[in-house]
Amino acid sequence: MTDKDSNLSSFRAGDFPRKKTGREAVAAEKVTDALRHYPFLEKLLESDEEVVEQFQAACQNTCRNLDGILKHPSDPQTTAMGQAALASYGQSLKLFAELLEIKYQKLAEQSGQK
Amino acid sequence: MFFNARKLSVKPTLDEVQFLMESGYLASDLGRHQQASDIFLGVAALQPNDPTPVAAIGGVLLAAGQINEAVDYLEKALKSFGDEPYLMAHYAEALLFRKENARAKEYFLKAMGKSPQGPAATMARSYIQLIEELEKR
Repeated sequence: MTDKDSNLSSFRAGDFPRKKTGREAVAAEKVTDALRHYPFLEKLLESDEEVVEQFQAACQNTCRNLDGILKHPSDPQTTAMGQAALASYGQSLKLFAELLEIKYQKLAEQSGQK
Repeated sequence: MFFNARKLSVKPTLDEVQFLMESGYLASDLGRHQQASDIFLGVAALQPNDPTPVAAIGGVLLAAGQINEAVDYLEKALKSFGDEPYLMAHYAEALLFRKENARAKEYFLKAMGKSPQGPAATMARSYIQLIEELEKR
């Protein structure tokens, strides 16, 4: 993780406030004071390792299927869509791995304090 | 842009789509605009008939301060999706950031008219209230 990603360290799934910047913040100040919630990520982070691994395996299976599309010649749009979908899974799984790392760090800190 | 393109033969589960969408929103909230955009673009590729990831890409462009790009992108999306209310509300939001308040209000009202109970109407009502408050100043 870089310094730029330092916000991530304060992340707790489900209670991270939606950050708005610049003009968006001005225009939105009256629109919503609500926090952005991530119910699925929160639930997944709180799940047992086995459940997390099952979900990751399901994602990897979809990725393999997407990869199958890319391995066979098809029209340029289908190829572009397959690549975009694969990148989406890659980025999301990468972000989730960072969240898991934070979770395990916190757990390790907590057990160290006991 | 994959607006209304032919669907891929790969079908993600609903859980997977929710996972991807929430990851995109989280990346955006963390200021990782490129990552968020990449994630939402992939969801748009997986669900080419769903306006939600398309609206989310517009939101990322706005959050990144790329207001004209957001307006152009959402305008094209609106044409492709045929005045879909949720996209219309996001287009109106982008217009508002470009200080085109009257046009923004017009599109918010249109979105509310098309879908009086949905999330587009909720968003539109809040913004109309804001525009009216700004008009009083």
